[in-house]
Amino acid sequence: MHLDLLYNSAVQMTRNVADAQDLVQETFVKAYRFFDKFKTGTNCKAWLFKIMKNNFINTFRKRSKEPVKVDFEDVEATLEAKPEPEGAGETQHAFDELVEDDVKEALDELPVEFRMVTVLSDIEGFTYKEIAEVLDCPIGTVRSRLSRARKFLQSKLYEFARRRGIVKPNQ
Amino acid sequence: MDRNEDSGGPLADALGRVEPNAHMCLIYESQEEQFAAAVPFVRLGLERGEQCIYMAEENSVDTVLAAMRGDGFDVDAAVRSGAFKVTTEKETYLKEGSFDPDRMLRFWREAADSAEAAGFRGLRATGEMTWALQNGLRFEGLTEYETRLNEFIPAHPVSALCQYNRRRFSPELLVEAIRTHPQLVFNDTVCTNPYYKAPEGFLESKEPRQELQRLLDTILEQQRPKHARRHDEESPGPASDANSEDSMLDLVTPYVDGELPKAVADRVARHIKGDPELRRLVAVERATKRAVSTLTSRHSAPVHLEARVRAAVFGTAGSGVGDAPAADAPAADAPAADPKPARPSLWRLLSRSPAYASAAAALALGVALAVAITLFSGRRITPFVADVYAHHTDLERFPVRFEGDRAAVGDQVSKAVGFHVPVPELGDELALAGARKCRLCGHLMALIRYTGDEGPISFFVVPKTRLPVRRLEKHRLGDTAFYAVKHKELEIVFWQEGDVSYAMAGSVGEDRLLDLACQACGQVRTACGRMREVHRVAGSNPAMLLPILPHAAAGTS
Repeated sequence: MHLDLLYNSAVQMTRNVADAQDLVQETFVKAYRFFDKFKTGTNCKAWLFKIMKNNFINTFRKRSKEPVKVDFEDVEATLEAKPEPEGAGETQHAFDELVEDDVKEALDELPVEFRMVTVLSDIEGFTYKEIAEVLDCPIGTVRSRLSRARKFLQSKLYEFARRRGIVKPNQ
Repeated sequence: MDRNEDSGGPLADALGRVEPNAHMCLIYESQEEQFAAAVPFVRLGLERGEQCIYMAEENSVDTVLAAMRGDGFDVDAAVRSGAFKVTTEKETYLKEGSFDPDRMLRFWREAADSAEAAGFRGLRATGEMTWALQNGLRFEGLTEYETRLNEFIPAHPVSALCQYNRRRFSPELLVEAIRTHPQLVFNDTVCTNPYYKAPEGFLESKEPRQELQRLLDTILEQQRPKHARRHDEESPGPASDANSEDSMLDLVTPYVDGELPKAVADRVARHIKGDPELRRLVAVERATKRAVSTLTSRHSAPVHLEARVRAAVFGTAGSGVGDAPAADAPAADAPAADPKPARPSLWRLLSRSPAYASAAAALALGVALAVAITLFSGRRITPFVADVYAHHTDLERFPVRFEGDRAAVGDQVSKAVGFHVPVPELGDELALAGARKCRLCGHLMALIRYTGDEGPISFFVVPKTRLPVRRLEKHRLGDTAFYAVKHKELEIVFWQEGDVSYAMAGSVGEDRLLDLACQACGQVRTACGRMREVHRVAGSNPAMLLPILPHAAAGTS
């Protein structure tokens, strides 16, 4: 059901249930009005998401609060500076043990552009090409945003795992 | 191999690793290629607290701003704070109508000073150099300017990216551009430019001896071990040496996402075996992806949203299909394939029912329904369908009794049947003909008839019934199930809300009929929802305040 897919992403974008509903409604109104622009045989889901993204940028983003700014340089610096005593298996294991709220919190802290690629890729299962179509940007941008978003999430999740005692603090 | 797929992301990363005080030349052929370098170049500056200037010429200021917004950061905030400025050649290179290298260098000096004074970490500038083609600028003027920038930039907190459009500059000018920039962004790669000529000597002499020395120096430079050159040179990722650590790191994300061409993915897989660090990174990346993708608490659309969407769509779009302004069209660049646009189907948009994927599937469905009806012979559904058919087709036997506008028809028919009858609006193509009271299989019900070019449509409201529909083909849309039946040439769609049954009948094709059913269902439901609020909200859209069955309202919470 496209409605559920769109709504889920709309909540991720707006982080607000009421705005998400408005956004979905506007998206369908536009989709219906511009249905003649839809190329039959192309990806309807991606087309709808694209309309939603445009709508979000054009109206909702102006209204909603400024996204939390994250200095990626800091994040990357932290990551690089961190000694990594644990093996691959351990980190993997640690992330699996995290509670859902931690993952959600980490996701929510991502700036919206990065959250959007993450949601589209990892939750909705879009390919890079589809995401590029939706976001109207080169595939390379999708890839670099996703890569940076994951680095950020990794550091966040690692922090949560440490706080919860799932991994031991570094010596 | 798609270049973007393999090096677009790394290009931004590579630009991020370029040392300060860079003077780079971007050679591009398309706007996409241009922005793929210029946008991250500016973004990096803003992220680092530098003041950024974009001097547009080929693109309008708005286009540049839009491209920057497309990269996802808050351009407008940066513009407001003074961190980012998009200007044109008229305010910079060609300020007084002509180009003067002295004036331009003065401009840079002042801009760099004022950026520092304003608390920025430096100045970052990028310019679309096509202005140089505007007014027969002398060749030497441009070369001289670029050469002098090579003296200016290292001594000031300035980075510059000069954008040269390969389709518009002559090869001669491009060769000069290459010779005057220490670094080159080309083919989605940041490279140290072996053909760069250092400022000393460039202006005075084109003497063969110096040229020979320069070439020899270049060759020597290329012989240095790779690690010594890492900061200067970025490998273009998968296309280059796969042993390069940098390029491998860039590939972790697309590798985990299964987005690499097979050959490259195989190379990464081979590399992982011998590199524990890379193996660890891939495992962590996988774990992160898994943590996000297994989030189970997805937000499901609330039940009323679908009705709200339907009401909104049919409330606003009834007449405007295709004639809306193209400016905010989501796919305005899409070629208009059909002079007569296909009828939009909200049904198609909302549902992913594979039954509507093709005509063949629809045909198969028709066969299945025919079988279903046969199976139901002798049960209640068959006489019900036959009654619907008779009431729809036999206009002489069942003429409409109440005519007028929707409110009047609704009032009269409601009085006649003794319950409130909603009279939905079905768009501009269908006009309300009227309504009558009738009986279907002994059930008292209301029939509302519409007419249009596509033929008559009948809408039945049958209270306190449950149709024996459970073995019919079901199409689910949100929390409403629609059951479709075909009888002779007539298609009928049933649905149920609480203990009220509704039927929509017509010979307009299944998709269209489902759309009309959706439309009616949405309006009825919205009205139900609004009924509960009507005491609180005065002045709601009166069109939405349809008369409604009291018990239906209770059934659609």
